[in-house]
Amino acid sequence: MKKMHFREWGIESPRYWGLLAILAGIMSIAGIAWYYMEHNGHWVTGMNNHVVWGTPHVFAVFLIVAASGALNVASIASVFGKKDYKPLAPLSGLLAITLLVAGLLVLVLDLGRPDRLIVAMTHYNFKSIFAWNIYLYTGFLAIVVIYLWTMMERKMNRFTKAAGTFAFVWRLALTTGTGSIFGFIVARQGYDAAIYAPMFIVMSFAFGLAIYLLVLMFAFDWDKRELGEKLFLRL
Amino acid sequence: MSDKTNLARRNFLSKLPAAAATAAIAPGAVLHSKDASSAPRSEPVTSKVRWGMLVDANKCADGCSACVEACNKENGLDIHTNPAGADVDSTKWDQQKPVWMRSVKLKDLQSGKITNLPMMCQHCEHPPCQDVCPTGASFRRADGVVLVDRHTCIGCRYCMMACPYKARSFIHENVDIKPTLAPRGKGCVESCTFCVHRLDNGQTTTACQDACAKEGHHAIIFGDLNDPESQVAKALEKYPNQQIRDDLKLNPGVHYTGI
Repeated sequence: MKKMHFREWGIESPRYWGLLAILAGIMSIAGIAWYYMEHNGHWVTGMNNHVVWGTPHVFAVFLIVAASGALNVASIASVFGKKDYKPLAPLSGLLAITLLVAGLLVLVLDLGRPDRLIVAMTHYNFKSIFAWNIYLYTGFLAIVVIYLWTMMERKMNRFTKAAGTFAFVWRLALTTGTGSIFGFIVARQGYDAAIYAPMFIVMSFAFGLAIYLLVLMFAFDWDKRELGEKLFLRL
Repeated sequence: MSDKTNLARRNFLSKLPAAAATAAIAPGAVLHSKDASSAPRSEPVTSKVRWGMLVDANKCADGCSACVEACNKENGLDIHTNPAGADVDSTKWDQQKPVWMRSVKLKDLQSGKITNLPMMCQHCEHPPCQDVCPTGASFRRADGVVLVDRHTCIGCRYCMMACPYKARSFIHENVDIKPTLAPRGKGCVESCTFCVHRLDNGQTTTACQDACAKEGHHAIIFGDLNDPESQVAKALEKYPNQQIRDDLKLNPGVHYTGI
């Protein structure tokens, strides 16, 4: 295989800045929505004492689960040694971080007291899956950053497989942890089931890969590059 | 001008560093030791006592809500109002406002028998809310009262998901009036405290129990489950009773009879 070269995205600058502006616009709407909720309280969301967790949790859990799945392509390249996927691996790691940060943001902003995040990071009850997840999520971010570094820095390339394997094991633990949030809710029969952890792992494979493919298709399409059917059909 | 040195000033200056150090390092310790003799509430509660309750559903009258009203009044839930700007859709507010005690009506579809009972925090021996709380804000006191530490609650509401009794409420809105006995603020979770402010002041009844007795129903008996001479222990021995969702093996402090 030829040597990899990392280059900037081959689209015209106005298009690039335009895309960023649109995304910034969406983010500022989200910011205003959050400010509105935080200022008035959760009653504006329609959640209540019976519907305890609502739309924010659907989004947060989806994004977190998709985050670990977005790492699939990198794992295929470095853990399972399929060289063809190597050029696609950095995007995979980057997407994983992005999705996880997005999911955590939603989760944190949904807290009744997001200002007490420092409390969540200094007081732990390790009987709670949530407390474990705080470590699983932040640990995942750190590991994927290191993993990306081993991919992008040629001197570090020899550690890519080790970092990738560790990240792969960690992402399985992370999704198990996320599934266990629901799997251990004994009080609600709709949740209380051991199937939640494996189900979340399977869902993460599907969601994460789907988001990865969509982003990849979009990026190639704007760049007017051919992706090729071979890669797609295999994934 | 006198030759006498002003000792008051000198004493003041010499004591200043010690006072400053005390104020900076150990205000809690000094305040605590000064308070120790004044009231028993400065001593930690022990597991010698386990507060609990027996609810006699046979005596719980249909249409009576004295216990719920007394609870609301005692804990300032009655002065908690619909947030400004909210629509007047009362069903929405009914589901969002904090409720510590609910009046539940059950109907047996086969026999048609109607049962009324109050439902609130069951003060479990093994509370699921305590297990799932990421910060340890949900906790169980040694004397069996399950509480929320409002200083460490981050409002994640996992405890509400984990409670089999739907006993907990989240404060969805800004709070204008903060009652001394049950101060509340937006974004934290709370629930029945077994009127812990009364227990800590040496009283042995809850507001709901008093209200029920005042109505003449006497459906609620509260007391120390560990004391075989207590009214509640005697009643538990006398009447067949059960704990709700006893399949979960949480050993709630609240028992029911006649359900």
